[in-house]
Amino acid sequence: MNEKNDTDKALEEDEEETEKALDKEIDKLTEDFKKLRKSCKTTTEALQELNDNLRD
Amino acid sequence: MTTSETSKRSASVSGLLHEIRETQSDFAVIRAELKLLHENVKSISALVRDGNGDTSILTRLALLSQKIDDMQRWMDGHRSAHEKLKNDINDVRKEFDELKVSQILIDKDVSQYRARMASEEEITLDRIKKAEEFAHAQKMSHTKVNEERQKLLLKILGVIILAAITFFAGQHLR
Repeated sequence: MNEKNDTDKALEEDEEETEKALDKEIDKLTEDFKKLRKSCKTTTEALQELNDNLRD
Repeated sequence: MTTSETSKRSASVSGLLHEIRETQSDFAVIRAELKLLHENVKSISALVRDGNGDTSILTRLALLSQKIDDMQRWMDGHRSAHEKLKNDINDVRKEFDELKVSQILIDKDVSQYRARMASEEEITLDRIKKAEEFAHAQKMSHTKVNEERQKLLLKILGVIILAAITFFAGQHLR
């Protein structure tokens, strides 16, 4: 009985760690995508300027 | 997992999905711009390669390059001629400077000669003046001597006449 309790507790703790890691990963991914969008915006502006200059 | 944790994660995942969708949209814009860029570059390439109803830019560039080479050769030739001319001008300038120095020396000699001539002229004039004065003095002296001689002759003649009269008178009285 005690062994089962210990195993459940360990599983619960492991699950909590995994959940925390998952949340952390989601936040990190969100930040990375935000940075990526900033880069996309800069790239888009540069391309637009280049196309405008080429068109002129 | 509690309800609040679930809703928090749901919000996080929702936010992540939003960012992913927006990123997709941004990439679509970039793709459109790249497509436009591709068209522009294609059009420029055609213009450079084939021209626009005129001589191609590559041909024009080749012609311009040829002209630049010709100009470079002409400039090289011109530069050597220019160097030669520059050297000639320097030589002429040197000779001119030497002539100037000679001219200055000649001017100096002429000035010295003129000064000497003026001095000699002054001495000559002085000598002429002295000679004239001497001649005048000699003439005056000669006249005076003649006068004295005439006076003496007259005296001698008077004595002779007187002696002759006395002699003839003595003869006659005897």
